[in-house]
Amino acid sequence: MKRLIKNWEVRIGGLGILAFLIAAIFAPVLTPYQPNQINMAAQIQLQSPSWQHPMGTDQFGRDILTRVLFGSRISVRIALIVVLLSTLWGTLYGGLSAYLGNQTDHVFMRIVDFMLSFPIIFLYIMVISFWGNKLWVLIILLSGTSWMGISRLVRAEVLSIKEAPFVQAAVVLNIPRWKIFFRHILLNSMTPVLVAATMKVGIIILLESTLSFLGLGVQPPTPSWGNMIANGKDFLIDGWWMSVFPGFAIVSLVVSINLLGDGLQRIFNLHAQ
Amino acid sequence: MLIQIVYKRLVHSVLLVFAVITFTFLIIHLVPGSPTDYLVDPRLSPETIKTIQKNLGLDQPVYIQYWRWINNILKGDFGYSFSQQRSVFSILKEAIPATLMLTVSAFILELLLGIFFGVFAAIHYHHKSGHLINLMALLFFGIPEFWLGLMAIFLFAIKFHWFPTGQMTTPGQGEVSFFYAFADLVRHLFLPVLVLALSSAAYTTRFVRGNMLGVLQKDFIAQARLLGVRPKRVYYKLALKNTLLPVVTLIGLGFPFLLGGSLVIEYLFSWPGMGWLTFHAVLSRDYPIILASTTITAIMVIFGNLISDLLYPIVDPRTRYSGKREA
Repeated sequence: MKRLIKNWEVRIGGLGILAFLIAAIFAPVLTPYQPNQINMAAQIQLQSPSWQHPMGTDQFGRDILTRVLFGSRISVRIALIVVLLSTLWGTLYGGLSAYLGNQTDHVFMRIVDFMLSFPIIFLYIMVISFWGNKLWVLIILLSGTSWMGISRLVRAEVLSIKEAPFVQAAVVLNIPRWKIFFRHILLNSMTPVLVAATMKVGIIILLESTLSFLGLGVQPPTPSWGNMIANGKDFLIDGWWMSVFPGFAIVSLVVSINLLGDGLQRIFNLHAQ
Repeated sequence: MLIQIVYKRLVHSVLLVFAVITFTFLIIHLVPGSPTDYLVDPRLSPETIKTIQKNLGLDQPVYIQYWRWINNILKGDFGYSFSQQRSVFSILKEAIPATLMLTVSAFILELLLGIFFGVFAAIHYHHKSGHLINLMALLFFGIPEFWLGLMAIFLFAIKFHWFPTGQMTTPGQGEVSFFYAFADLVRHLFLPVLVLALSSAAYTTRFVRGNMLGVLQKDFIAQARLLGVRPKRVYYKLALKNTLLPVVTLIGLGFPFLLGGSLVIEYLFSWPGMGWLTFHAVLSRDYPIILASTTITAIMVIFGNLISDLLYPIVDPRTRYSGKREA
């Protein structure tokens, strides 16, 4: 724990993430406005940043800061769910593949190759535009296409751990195979998974915002950083603040997450990849 | 031995291509609704719509459509686009060069930037300059591509008018000299290439830096230093060579992005390439175009991987006989 706090990357990254979490949780308390409060009074629409509206307002007179705060809720939630699902699945998949070995391993890894060679951005567009913009479709799609890296990682770990003396000792002691697998092998390969999952949160946030920007992710009026930037795209001349500030939010959150990931990697002394 | 490996990998690759095509075909055909819903005026009589469907071959069962489609592909025939009313082949013939122009330039720029800065940051590990580059790479790694592009348009196209906001050529010029047309194209290429290269160079920089740092800790480097080999030689001759090995993998993995990876940038800059084409084909449910572009991209991905796998034994003699890389 002490080592964690001593590392400046972990400290700054952690603080940044904490700030965003607080913003997400306390969004309704932090701002006097509603995210979807439309105010068509001409003097409120497309206002540049001021004391009343630190990040300005959009073409419907909605406060950008409020929408950025509320936008963090949806982005963070999606990213956490997706990373949780894909990490669990990837760990189980890669672990089983290595533990069972032989033909199973071969088939499992060919499936990973297949998934990795699919032009995923096309898949997103196809599935979402054909099956509609539902949130659960987005979550399943993102989870279903982001577990392969983790599974390869876990597979490599398990391959080396399963030959370790303490595992052989467990086999000799006649401990059930599933117990050896979960308790002795998987638990001991968790460190790199933790780091990879941390980095993954940032990647998913970027992906979700990209899809929302293309109009395929979170749909307006629900504010998400990606669809706010898409909305601001047509107002670059009259309202640069509409697309600049949500972008700052994405960058600072993702950089915080990557800092934390880098720091963890250094502490656990993993190879930088 | 090597030939056997090549053969095995080749068979694998072909099977993978088939799997991807089939999967795409299934996704498209599992979708509720018919493409004619979008194509045809709904006020037409049901008989007319039936005839149109029959002409497009959509009245046949799925497996026959699939069989026909695979057969045609093997003959190099990708069918006719529903929405543009011309052959997919002629559409691709315009879109592929447009995309390659964009992505190949970006890819080369990315590799140059990434290798240069990555090596620099590794050599100057303890200096401020090395730290600065590391931080910059971290920052750019966190910037979404579409936002970077939008900001570039805002600053350099809208504020300063240095570059056009999008598209490939300035419309309505009539006949112009070759030199002028070329200059015009470069002006249009500049911003999208820069954005594409910068956002991926961040990853390459981190990758190269990490590798180089790893190599610099190896025993043979310490030995070379002890033997009094000049630092320049240690860095650029011994370490760099070993650092660039995994970059070969990176090149192979980057291959698919030459066709599919610029979708967001093409969308943003209205660049008439593969990404733009596919995006609009999906929105208008133009099946032949979707199938063709996924197929071509998948082939690129799989053969990119194959090429990097085969390049490996050539550049790294240690892997020549086992056919396996060090993990």
